[in-house]
Amino acid sequence: MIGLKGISVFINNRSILENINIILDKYKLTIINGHNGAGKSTLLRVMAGIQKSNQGDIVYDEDNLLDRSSFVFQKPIFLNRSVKDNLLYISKLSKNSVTEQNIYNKLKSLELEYLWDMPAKKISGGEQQIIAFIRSTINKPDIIFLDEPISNLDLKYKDIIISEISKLSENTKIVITSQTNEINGKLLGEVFMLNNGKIL
Amino acid sequence: MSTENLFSESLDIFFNYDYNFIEIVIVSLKISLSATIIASLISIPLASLLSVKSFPGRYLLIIFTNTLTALPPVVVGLFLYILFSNQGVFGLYDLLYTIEIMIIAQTILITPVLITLTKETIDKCYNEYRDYLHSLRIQNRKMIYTLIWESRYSLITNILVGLGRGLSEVGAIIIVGGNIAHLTRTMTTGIVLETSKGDLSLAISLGIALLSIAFFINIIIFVIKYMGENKYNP
Repeated sequence: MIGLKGISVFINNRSILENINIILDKYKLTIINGHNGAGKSTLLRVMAGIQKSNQGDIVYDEDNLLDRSSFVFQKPIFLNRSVKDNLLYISKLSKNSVTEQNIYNKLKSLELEYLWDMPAKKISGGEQQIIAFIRSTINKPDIIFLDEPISNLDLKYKDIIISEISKLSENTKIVITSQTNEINGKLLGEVFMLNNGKIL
Repeated sequence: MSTENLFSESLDIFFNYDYNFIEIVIVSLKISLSATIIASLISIPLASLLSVKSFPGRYLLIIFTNTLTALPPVVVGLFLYILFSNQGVFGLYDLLYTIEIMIIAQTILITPVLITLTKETIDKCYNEYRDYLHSLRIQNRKMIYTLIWESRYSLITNILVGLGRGLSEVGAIIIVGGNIAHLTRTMTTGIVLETSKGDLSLAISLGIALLSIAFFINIIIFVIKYMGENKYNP
């Protein structure tokens, strides 16, 4: 589905990613493990087309695949609007008919409906992370990139996100970065280990 | 006349809504508000494009608009006078000594200021949302619309700064407007004339009006900033 050929990224002459050659399985969830500074986020951003590589190519087996993708940042980014308006902003970008009621019901099913009218930037970090995850699924993308989606989350939110990822991965390609092995035992998929910008 | 009497007479004019005085204030507001609206309509889309889109000559355009913020009003007035005088290229439009040419002059002066301020505001917003908006793969037009909406409180503040520049400007409009009573006389040109005539009480009352409007604009800026910063930001 996504093939990376000789991907290298340098920032200020420092090598962040070095000659990465991997092919992501179309039907499996992909987990990229590595320590702080290993280059996981950069690799994910390059795959998602948010950041350009200095060398190498990325091949997608479907045309305009990235147009049907979404990305959850490690530190979620929200517009200066309520949670509701942040979620509706995404739904309005899509031709899919995702109604306000559908989105509200999704929040309710996760017992998060109390966040609906709250300013997105004023809710807790954990709540932001889960809302960002829900937001990434609204337009039913073909591929979701998740940058450390459960870092700094308490157990309740971790379980919610892992369970949602598990359900979603049945029909959607998911690529996750994770610092620890915590996610590996709970989610099944192919695992790549990244160390100092190199795949082990 | 003693200073005390001068101020008391000025306050009389100010509070008794003298017809001439009101007329001058209305002409000033009409010119500066129109110029600010036109300048905003030009500046906001242009500055947003300068922030978001890369194109050849972009940096040159940024430097050029930044330079124009220091444009001396009298130079603008002089150029417009030459262009719109009977022998000028646009002389046939017969706009010299009209409110329209004064609006054009102020628009020329306000636009570079608004472009510079707006670009700074949109740049800040774009830096915050760049990755997110790029991850959504939205068109530049939608991205610009989002950035403008997200910066709306700061943009309104910028627009009011532009209005302030327009209202306090005198050099350009006195040349192209001619400071004609009941037609093109504004608060600033009125102050210049009344001071030279020695009618300091009317000049002072116009100064009080100018300061009152500036104070009112600053109250609006404060309220808008307070609303914007507290509603959604942590």
